[in-house]
Amino acid sequence: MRIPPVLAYVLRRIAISAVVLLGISAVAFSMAYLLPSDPVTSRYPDITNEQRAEMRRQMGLDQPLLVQYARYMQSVFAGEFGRSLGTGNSVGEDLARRIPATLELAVYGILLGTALGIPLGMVAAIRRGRPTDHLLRVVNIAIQSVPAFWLGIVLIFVLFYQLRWVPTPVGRLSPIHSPPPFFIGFYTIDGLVAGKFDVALAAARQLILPVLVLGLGVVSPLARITRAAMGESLGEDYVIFGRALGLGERQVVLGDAFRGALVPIVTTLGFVVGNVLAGAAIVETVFSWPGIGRYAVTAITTSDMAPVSTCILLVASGVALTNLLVDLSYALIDPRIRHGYGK
Amino acid sequence: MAMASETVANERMTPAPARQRPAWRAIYAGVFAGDPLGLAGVAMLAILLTVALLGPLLVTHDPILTTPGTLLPPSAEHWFGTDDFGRDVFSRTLVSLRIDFIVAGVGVTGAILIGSLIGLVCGYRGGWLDDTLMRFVDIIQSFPLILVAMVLVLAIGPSVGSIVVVTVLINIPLYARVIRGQTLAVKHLDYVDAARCSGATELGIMIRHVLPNTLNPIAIHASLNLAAAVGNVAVLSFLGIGIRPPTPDLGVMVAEGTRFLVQGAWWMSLFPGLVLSATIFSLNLLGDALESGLDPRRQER
Repeated sequence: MRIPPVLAYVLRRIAISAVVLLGISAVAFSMAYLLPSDPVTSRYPDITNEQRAEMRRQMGLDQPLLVQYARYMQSVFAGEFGRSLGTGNSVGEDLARRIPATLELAVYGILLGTALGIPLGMVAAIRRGRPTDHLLRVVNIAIQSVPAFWLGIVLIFVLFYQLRWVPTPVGRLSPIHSPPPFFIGFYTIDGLVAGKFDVALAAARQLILPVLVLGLGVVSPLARITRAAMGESLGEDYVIFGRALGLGERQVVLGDAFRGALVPIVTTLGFVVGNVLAGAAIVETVFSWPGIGRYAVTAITTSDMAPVSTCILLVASGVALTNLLVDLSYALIDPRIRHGYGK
Repeated sequence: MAMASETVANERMTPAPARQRPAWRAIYAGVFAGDPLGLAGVAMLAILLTVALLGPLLVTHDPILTTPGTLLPPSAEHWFGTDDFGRDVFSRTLVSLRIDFIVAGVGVTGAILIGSLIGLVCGYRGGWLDDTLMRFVDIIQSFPLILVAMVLVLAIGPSVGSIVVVTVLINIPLYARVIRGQTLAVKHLDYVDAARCSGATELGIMIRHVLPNTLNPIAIHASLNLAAAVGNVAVLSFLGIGIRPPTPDLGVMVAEGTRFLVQGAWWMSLFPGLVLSATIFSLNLLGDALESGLDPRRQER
């Protein structure tokens, strides 16, 4: 039986990703191991030396690094991902509860950032060298330069403390509402599906500021690459040809030039996902958002090894998975790649 | 035969970098002459750097002296107001800026030196060393850097010194990769072969002929990277890791201010954050101007 080349490529990419992930898990675990590794003393400062030794033995902290890593990996494959000393749960359980919170934030943030960044880049490319282009360039650099944590605080002060336009930043839902029944884990969508429109609306209002802050972080890299790639594709023969045929400007710019610029834009989008997942740590801390970012920050500051290595592994896997999807999407976007003409 | 050796001798007398130096100056002048925004970035950065350097001379109050006048709004006496200990926010901001510039600057410089060395050797020698180090760089770059930085700072023990060390560590891969690529691009050019024929040692070629050709990308990346590093240092201290109170730091000041927003004391967070944003903004403007002026692919557009 002959395996079609595309499938072979996909399988090879998945195999490589798996090996890379194994490497990442080892590095992530060693890193967590580096933490000032006396989680016992930091949690129970008043115990005797014998008690401490006993607890360390129970937790397996007295074993060599390799043994601890092997145990951890065993637990990873069992879906447990080790045990958090802070929450007392298995890390898998903790994450299952927190991943939807982060995903809801990240998905809306990336959508908002893309919806702003790509059109901004397009306009800049079309108006290249004109005042609009220069203005957009400054705006872009400014957006990129404002630290997310400070922007979040300023927005909270103005829009909540002063104007009361947004609700109290207490996380996903204020305590007066109970979360909607689980559908996909996004409170906005779960609420709509369950017909609880007030809950969906309340959840959406909680999302406004964190999504805005997270989304603005995406705007600038996307606008930058869109401007560069569209600038190139607008000069290509097929665009000139399209214009010569009398196609409308709309068709030429949105249909042809944008399509031609899509490969680098999607590549950047893949890179942006990694940024968003890391940026979530900051945004979640500022907005008391109960997601994996804040979980990771808490775990790091309390030397909670299993959650630390799992969170790093999770984000790195998210990045690896995105890169895989990005690579696979090239074939979909660009017929030259699909038919093996290369670029 | 005689002619050939003469050409080689000429090549030796006028090595590539020596010929290029004046041209570079012209290019840098050209970058900013045609670019008011880049120039604005340089001017802004110069002002901030001067303020940071002269910080201790410019402060209006002792930055760590607590006074009874707590949480005073901005006034002629206290330009940026006072904090919860009655300390002058303006003076603290100046001193913080200085510390943050030093930490980020030393960190990025260290990363450039070590990263360039790795990239240069990897690109020039190739082989297993190159393969191993670059795979390692690949893995590191897929990590969430801010979390890694937090873990490393805590592992070394939170202090100003460990933030510098971690800034160096997390930025090495960037330079290793950039310099390696640039080295690969020039190492087979004719003038390198010519230098080798004329008896230059491998080390000499790397330093005198390959390294100078990597300076433009380093300049571009360094300014953008410095902007990111200033931001990262502030994020770390904002999260309570790294530079700790009472040492003034912009991130720490913003974090401390958040606790008093509820009382309407907006100045504690606002001003340090504004200065922080301005610093990052000026560095990004500079990096952007260098990028569009120095990158040959962009120049022709």
